[in-house]
Amino acid sequence: MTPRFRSSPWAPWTGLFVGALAWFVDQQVSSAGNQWDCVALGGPFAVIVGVVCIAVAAAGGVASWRLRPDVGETQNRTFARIVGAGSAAIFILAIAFGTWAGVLLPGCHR
Amino acid sequence: MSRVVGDLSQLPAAGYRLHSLWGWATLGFMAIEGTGFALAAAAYVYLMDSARQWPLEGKPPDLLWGSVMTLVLVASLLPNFIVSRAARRRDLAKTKAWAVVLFVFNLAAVLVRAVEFAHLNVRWDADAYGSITWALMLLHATHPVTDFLGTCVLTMILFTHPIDTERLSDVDDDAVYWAFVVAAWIPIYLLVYWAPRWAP
Repeated sequence: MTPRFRSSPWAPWTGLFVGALAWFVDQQVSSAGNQWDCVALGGPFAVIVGVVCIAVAAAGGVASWRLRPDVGETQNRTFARIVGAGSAAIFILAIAFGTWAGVLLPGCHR
Repeated sequence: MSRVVGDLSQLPAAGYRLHSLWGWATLGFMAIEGTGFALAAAAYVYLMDSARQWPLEGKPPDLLWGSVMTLVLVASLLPNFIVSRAARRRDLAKTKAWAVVLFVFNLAAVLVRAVEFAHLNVRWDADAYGSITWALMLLHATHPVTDFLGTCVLTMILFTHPIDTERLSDVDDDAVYWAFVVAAWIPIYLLVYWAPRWAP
């Protein structure tokens, strides 16, 4: 984690924004892929996309969480850090549910 | 020992709306996202009710682009209805043509939404009013963007893949979801653009 990242006002929000983006990408890529070619881009593809997106969201959450309080950290920054890490956890849950559908359902089952 | 208890071979392999798995998925999507909209709207009203003035500082969002967005979305319901009906009637030529028209409306909505953000007259981190206004707008913005991408993929599929009932059912589901996006926008439009003008 670079000093420049640590000092950025956006840094505490990393988990929120990266988590939301990961969820969005997971939903779009896995559903569009399934509609495009349910045999080649079916269940296993959705699972791979889901796992990658979970890893990305987790990295965002960890980045928020690891911005440990510095001396003189404002309450707003502390709040943003906690929201960032907590929301990443929620987005991971959302991605996991969608990914689980890829495990349970055949890609071409409508 | 196994025995035949029924012959299901005559049943259709695919169906529309709640006769398809994707129809149920779309319904679940709308239930979850509708709850998200309701929670964000409740937060907006709570903050507005607690404030001495609303907006806390500055002026309300410019009406023009929010109203243009509302007009685009309401007008899009017509091609949306036509494409949905054509898909359910398995009229492929009409479905293709109107899917392109709907795609143009989706694109217009995404572009107008991008302009709207520049006319909110408040930064997202300025104060509680700015944060909840941007939150509501972003929350809704994900929907035109999501549906624009979905319509884009489905329209390409209509022109590049063999089309069966499953595909036409996907088009119909997409149309149902777009109607939800439009319906969700009306209360958000009233909150973001009119509530600051009506608030004492």
